[in-house]
Amino acid sequence: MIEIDKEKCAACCGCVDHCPVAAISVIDDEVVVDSDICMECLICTKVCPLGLPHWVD
Amino acid sequence: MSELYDVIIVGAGPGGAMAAKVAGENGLKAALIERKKDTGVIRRICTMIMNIDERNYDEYIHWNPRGKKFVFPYNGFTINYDGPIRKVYGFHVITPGGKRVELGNVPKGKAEDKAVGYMVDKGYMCQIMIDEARDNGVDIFNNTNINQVRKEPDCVVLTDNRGSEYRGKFVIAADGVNSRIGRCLGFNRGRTFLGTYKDMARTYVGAEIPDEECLMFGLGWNCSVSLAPEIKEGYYHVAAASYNVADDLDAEIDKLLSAEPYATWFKNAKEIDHRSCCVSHIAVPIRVPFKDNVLLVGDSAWMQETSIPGAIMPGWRAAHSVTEALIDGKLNKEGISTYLKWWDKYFFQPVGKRMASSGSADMKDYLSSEDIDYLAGLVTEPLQATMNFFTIMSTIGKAFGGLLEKIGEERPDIMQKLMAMRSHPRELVLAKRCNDGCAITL
Ligand SMILES: Cc1cc2nc3c(=O)[nH]c(=O)nc-3n(C[C@H](O)[C@H](O)[C@H](O)COP(=O)(O)OP(=O)(O)OC[C@H]3O[C@@H](n4cnc5c(N)ncnc54)[C@H](O)[C@@H]3O)c2cc1C
Ligand code: SF4
Ligand code: SF4
Repeated sequence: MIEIDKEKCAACCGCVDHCPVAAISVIDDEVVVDSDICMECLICTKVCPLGLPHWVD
Repeated sequence: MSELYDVIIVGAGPGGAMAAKVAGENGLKAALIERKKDTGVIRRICTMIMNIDERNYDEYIHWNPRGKKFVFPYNGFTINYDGPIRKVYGFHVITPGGKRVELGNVPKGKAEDKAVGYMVDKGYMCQIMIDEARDNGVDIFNNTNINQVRKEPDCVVLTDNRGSEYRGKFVIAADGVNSRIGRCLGFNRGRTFLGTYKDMARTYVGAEIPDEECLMFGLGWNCSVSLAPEIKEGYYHVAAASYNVADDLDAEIDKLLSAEPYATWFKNAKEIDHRSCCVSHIAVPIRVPFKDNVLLVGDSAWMQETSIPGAIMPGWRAAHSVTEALIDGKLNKEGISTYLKWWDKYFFQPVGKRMASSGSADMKDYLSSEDIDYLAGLVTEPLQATMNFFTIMSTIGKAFGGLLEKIGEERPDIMQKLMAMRSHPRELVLAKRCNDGCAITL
């Protein structure tokens, strides 16, 4: 599944916008991935300028 | 079933905040939906410079210092702003060898008090408009992500991340350059893709930058780099951006800061533990930004930088146009035709079309850093001060137009490269942008 390092995230919402299935939301100004919705396309890992979303087994 | 709004505005950036304020003032039953909880904080990177006293779409924006407001005289409205301001006197091109082409002489601009840009606290400016909207009865839903949109016979239905629904006779989608609403309604289909633009900035304190009150844009590096003051005195940001999602932006900033004269400028500077960034899906501007009673406003109908005033003006117009449609009882495209005509006349035809044809060759594919140093070194006198994108382009174009003969004589090799760059096929540029980027059409 996909995880985002909260400490480093600027909450620019680039990954939120680019996720094809709206699996990423901003809740209380924190960017959160819903792994039930995520289809593991890895687009978010490519678009983040800070390289934060990453795959964990 | 949830209540039916006259209009629902999605996104509380400059475009949406303005639309909500006007909807409130006009007495509409309106809602403003924003995914951020703290609506007054800007999280997506933006230099936050309001371009003033220059032609700007159909406007010529001016600052009223006593009333503390930005005046939009041609459209006939003002926006209140009593927050901090930093004046900016021009746009400078910097090169790896430390050359600097000045569009605007900073000391002269300061002496004459002729700024071309006012850097503002954009979040605070939006918050003022949001508060005005709330005071006029607009329902504000923050911390709410809109994920879906669908059209029903008598309304548009929006669904948020918790599954709640919002129903409006009209929707103004001011949800920014990567607009999910636009995408869900199929606006991206057939829209030429111009690239995925990734931008990242580090903030520093204590840098010593000569003539700092300007926006510096670097040419000759592997990525686009830029240097700008921030609204807080003594703070600067150094940014790197690219159309290739695989580029290492951090490394590019390190490179910029490790060579002279920039290393000296930042010798005593400390990086603040704060990085900002943005990523934009860039496609050509939309000619008719209306479908199924949803009106796209600001960056959602444009590319990535319609600009703060360039989002505020459509926000203002859109809310008035929706008001007219409701009064006339025409809940359709005809009802908001004044908006669509205005958009076509002042945004799409004169500016949008030019933006749509952009996609010129990457300078770094043709010119070396040394070539760019040489070219920049030819412009020894400051040029006209400007912050307007098109005036920047034409001013630089004019300056080099007068230098072509000299370049041809002194450096025929560079002249040849310039000619080759000019005839680089646009299809190849676009194909590369597709390959290096991440187009979202789903
Ligand atoms: C690097 C950079 C530098 C810039 N510098 C300048 C500058 O110096 N001066 C200038 O005038 N312009 C500048 N711009 C351009 C400027 O930032 C934009 O043109 C402007 O902010 C567009 O306003 P907007 O209201 O259309 O959209 P935005 O400002 O992008 O606002 C969109 C809002 O919608 C919200 N939103 C998005 N999707 C959803 C959703 N699904 N649900 C709920 N809420 C949502 C977002 O959280 C956001 O608050 C810059 C742009 C970039 C990329
Ligand atoms: S991997 Fe794909 S589906 Fe999953 S969160 Fe990232 S962008 Fe969305
Ligand atoms: S793109 Fe990166 S910085 Fe931006 S919200 Fe996503 S994880 Fe955070």
